[in-house]
Amino acid sequence: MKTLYLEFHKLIVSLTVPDKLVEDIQEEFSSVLGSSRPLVIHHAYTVHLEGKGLSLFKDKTHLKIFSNVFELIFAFEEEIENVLVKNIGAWVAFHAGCVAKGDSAYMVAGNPDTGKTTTTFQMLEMGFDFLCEEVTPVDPETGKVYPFPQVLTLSRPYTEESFSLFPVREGVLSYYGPEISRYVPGRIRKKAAKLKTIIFPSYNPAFEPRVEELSPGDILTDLLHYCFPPNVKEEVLYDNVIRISENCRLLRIQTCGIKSTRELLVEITSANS
Amino acid sequence: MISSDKKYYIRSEKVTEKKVGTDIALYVEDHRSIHVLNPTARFIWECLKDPMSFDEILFMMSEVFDVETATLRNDLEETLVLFEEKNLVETRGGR
Repeated sequence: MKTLYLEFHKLIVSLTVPDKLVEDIQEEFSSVLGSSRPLVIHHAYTVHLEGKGLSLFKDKTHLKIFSNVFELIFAFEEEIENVLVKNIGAWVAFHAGCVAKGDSAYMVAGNPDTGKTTTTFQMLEMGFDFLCEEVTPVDPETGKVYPFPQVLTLSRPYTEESFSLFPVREGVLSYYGPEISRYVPGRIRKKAAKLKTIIFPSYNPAFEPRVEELSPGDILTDLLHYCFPPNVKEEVLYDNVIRISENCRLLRIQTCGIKSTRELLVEITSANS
Repeated sequence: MISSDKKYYIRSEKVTEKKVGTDIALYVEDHRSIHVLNPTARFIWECLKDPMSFDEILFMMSEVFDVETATLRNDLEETLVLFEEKNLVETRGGR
């Protein structure tokens, strides 16, 4: 058995796994692996081999059995997301991806299947640094986004189409069966960056590609839907989200495909720099 | 249809007004909900600092918006119904 330490801002966990799983787990969480035992560990997870399955325990309580290491990894990622959201206090946790360039962070938010992860993926391949996937924690006092660098899960047909147009250069893309691909970004930002822009992607093959500037009032209700349940009163969350949105450029990008997404991203990010 | 006589509307004391950029949002603590006002609703909300009847608000709107009275009446009816549904306003009988 080997114990690995996963270090996020406001959350440190240990994960003890059988030797034969170490390589897969290390590869998956390479960007957050600590080199030595931290002083504080919020939760201790252990994986035991059980017949042909893998049993996951949290602080000695049994959570679930998985049939293979990838099922375990996907579920563990989700577990970490949920624990992180509970550990971040008054920070706002958006269901969003986030990248950075220079001292500016760009958050990509939206409902499921609107293109959050694909837009994040495209920005990473355009040379942006990786900050967050799935959960984007923002400190409303400073407006800074703290890294939560999970591996990106995308549809395989999408990444294959993207690859046919733009070879993957900035990370490692792997395929898991006919439907799923996983992307490990190459440029991972370890430090927080100031949130300057929030992008709301919207995809429809019939769209005329365009960028629409939004006001905080236009987007407040939607943005609140993209927040994980808060650890503070709703009103405090509302005030925090208002404050965050007032300090950002808010852009809806309507795209009809991968090329138009890239063109619009170039347009909005070059205008910001 | 809202009666045009003797019913007065006023902002609920349980509503907190919040500035959102150049817009206004209303937070209702009991419902833990928040509502961003469109320009018409915002104008009506501004009118309701003091108790006002439907006709009084309609008159104020006609002074400001260059829109047919029938349209204003519809907008006002819809907005007041929504305000009542969301507990943003209270209603009172005659003065």
